[in-house]
Amino acid sequence: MKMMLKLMSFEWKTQRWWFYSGAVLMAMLYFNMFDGFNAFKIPNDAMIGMKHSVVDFIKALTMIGDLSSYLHFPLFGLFVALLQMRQQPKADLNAFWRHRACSSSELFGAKLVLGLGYTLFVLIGYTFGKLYWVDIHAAISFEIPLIEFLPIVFPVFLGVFGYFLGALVCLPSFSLVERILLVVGGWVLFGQMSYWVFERFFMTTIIDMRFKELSGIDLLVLGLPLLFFPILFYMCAFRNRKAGMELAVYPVASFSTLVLFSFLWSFVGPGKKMTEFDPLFNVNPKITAFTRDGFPSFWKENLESGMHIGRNAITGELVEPDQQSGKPQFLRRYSARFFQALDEPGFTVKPLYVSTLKQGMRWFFVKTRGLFYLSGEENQTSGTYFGLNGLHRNPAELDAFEDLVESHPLQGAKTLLIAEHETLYANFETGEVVSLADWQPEGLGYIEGNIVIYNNERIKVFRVEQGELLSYPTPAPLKGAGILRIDATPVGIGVSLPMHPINKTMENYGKHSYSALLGWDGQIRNETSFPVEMKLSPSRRSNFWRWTPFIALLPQFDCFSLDRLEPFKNLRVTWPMMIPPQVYENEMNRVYLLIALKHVFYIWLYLGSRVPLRRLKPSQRWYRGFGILVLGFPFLISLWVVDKLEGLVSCPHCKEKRPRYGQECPYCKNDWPKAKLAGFELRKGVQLNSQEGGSSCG
Amino acid sequence: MSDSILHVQNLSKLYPKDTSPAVHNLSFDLKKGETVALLGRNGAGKSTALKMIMGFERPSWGEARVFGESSEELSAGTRGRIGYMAEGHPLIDWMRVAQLAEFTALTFPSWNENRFKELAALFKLDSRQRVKHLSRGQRARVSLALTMACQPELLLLDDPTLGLDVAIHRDFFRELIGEIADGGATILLSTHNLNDVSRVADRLLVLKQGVLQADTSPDAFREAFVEVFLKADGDIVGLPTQGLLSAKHQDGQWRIVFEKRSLANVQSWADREQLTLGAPGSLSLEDLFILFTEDSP
Repeated sequence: MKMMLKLMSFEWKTQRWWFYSGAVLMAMLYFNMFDGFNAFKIPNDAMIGMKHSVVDFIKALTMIGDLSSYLHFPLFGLFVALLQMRQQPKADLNAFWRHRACSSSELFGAKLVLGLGYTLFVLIGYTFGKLYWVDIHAAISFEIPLIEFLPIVFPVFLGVFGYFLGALVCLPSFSLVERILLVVGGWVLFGQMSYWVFERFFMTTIIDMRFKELSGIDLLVLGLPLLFFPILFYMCAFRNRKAGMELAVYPVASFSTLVLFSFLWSFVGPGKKMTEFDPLFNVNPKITAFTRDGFPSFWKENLESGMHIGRNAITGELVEPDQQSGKPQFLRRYSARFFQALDEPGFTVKPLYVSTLKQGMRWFFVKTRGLFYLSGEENQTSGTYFGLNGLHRNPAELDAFEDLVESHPLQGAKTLLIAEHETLYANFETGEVVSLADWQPEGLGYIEGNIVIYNNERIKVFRVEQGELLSYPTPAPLKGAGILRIDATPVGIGVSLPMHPINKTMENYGKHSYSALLGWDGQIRNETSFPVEMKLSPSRRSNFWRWTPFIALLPQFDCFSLDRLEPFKNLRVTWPMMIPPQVYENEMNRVYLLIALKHVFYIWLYLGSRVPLRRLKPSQRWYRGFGILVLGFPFLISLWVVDKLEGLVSCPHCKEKRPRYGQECPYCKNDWPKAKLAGFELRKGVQLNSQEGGSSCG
Repeated sequence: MSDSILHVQNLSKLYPKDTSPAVHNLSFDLKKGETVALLGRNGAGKSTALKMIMGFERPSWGEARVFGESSEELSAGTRGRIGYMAEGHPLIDWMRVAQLAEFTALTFPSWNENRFKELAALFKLDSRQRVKHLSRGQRARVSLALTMACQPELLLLDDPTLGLDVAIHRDFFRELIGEIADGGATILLSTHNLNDVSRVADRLLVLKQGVLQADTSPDAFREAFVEVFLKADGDIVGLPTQGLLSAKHQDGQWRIVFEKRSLANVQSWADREQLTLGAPGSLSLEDLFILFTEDSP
């Protein structure tokens, strides 16, 4: 301990200049890349949750709210580790550093403790400093309970992940390819997962949110990546274990391969035009999109222009809507990735769209006061407030909104506000507030001046222009069905039931199995049923698991890995190892089997080229085989790329080329030939042997 | 074995995708107080062997034990008894010389500050200089001073004089190594400089293509062979190959190097062929090393 303290002191003395530089550079990067010091510069997609408004409010204000800006936490950790250990990869220098009369734990530990401590200190200090700055300088005073800051601060710990990734990359014995794969795969897989875990964990525990979908096991399993790198680092650095290094490289390299493949595929993969029909109203195509993955892209409602903009999920390119056939007559919501998690069932926090009143001005909801504040994005000016009884320049004159959960901007300054036990229509321009229902809607739609809200019992339509509120019972077929979409038309409202979603992509895509057109009197005018293309009921799925748990494990991992990786969720159809989408949709069981067979094929492909030549030790065969079984194609590629195989040497006994990793031939078990002397051999006592003449003297 | 400081047994390294080991079944012992030179041409496996002994390279098979401990798991205490200078004098570039000394002092309980100061004065080291600004020779001197100031019981030096100027080079072998050896330390050093080695080394280990070809004293090594000159313009026929190390035609005469005990055979061959052999002479260690490690006689 004493030694470690001394080493830490030395580390600080010699590295502090770099640390300072790191902090300054970080700040500059942050300023330039994210414009983070301008607390009121809000990204276009920023959304503010109301129930825990402070959390989302600060996220939006500080630009921490978007996933991309979360990257700066691990980025900083990575940066510090690289600075601290930048010279470790040089083998000889590593030897100089490590050849000390103290343990590796003390040497590395001193660096780790100091580096990690510094990382956390800077990031936490930075975050709190920023929050303080926002609180002091912003026009809006938060009056935030301290506990509500915690969720903001916890993602700072992503710096730990970045730090260990950087430290691991700096260890010797990794090749350049391995280092690249570690960074790419580590960043994509563990960075994203870590983020996701933190988000879930602290939302569910610290803020006492409902905890429906996630089990403790989920959190545990997903939390493992956070421990993965520290453990690997320990194994590789402190113990110098080769097996540990392989463990570190191969899984991460697998995901890197996956990422690189998908990247490549997005450029070379064949694309096709895909047309979306809206069967409720007519047969004309509504949207035509170019896609490489077989699924249309996510669609984004551009609130400013009223245009619907598609974005290819893979390339990210904007896809032009088919202007000729008209705009889609329904509202599609688009969530930024960060908030998709919050938008799922089980969480009470919903994204809140805040209407933009005019250029550069934005409404914020301050939960502690229950009022909306109008504030500039750039100049921090404010002075207008909006409460239950309208607009006012003095907030004391206003009644507070209570228990607001979410809001839905409709058009211009018109917004639907959802409270826990009430649904309100608010016009932020005129100050008009109308109570539409004393319940939270399960779904809503807005078109051409009509607001439609519904729950299992009632459908209500508020005709904004006429100020008329219609109400009638929800038709029987729609009760409890989980209505996917609701549209308002000049002649009535259209309601659609979803097909069973197999993944988020299709969920957003919005195919439906039943549609009904209701008249304003509440009667069904038109009814259409569509064949449900994929039936995967929970019971059938569980049966499948029961009977084929082993095989089911394989595609589960495929699905898991692809579903969980938000940016790569469409890979199931783009990646060469994956299967055609139509197969996936129609025959789930066959898909499982197909993937299982493919994995077995991969194992055969890999081990078939290795085992007969005994190029793998028995232990290597097992874990590599298992790795391919579970991780599939990317693991196979990683092995081929990263493998360091012993050379093949001709065995004089079995007359074949064999790998040589010991004193005996792994195939025939005979000793390899002794070292071949070339010329003379001299030993102590002047023993002289001449190979040429075979003489022996002495 | 009780006084064996270093025990190396079948130490071998086969790099991935290589077909022959870089070091092949290397075996030797180092006794307390011995000074042993590990010789070999470039790529002979000297540095690899030293790295394996230090535990920085994993042997493909075989083992090395230092002070009784496996080289792969050397304890901090044992490392404190070993001085190791890696090839090329690697030092932490961004540190100053004084910081390096501080770091080394911190991590070696046997550090002798006075000794370091003496050496720093001898080597004319500027403690304020950053390592990255040092010349190759200066780096070598810093590296030497750091290693020596730790007063190790076992010193492993991988080409320690690389980059040193002539004067310091001479001092290193004449004074420093001698002084350390006199102090009872055990030394294993790899080098190319044979003439200096002959002054300090008790034993020579000669590696050729990863295989230990010689393990003997410098004198015995040198005395094992003789050279003779033979005046002959054309080819010579029937020269006995037994014990022959080298036969080369240069400057109108043949230079023949062979094992000393084959002298009678060579002499009788020359008599038969009516050739006149010059007087047998000994070779310098350097000349002999070059011939000894040539690919073929």
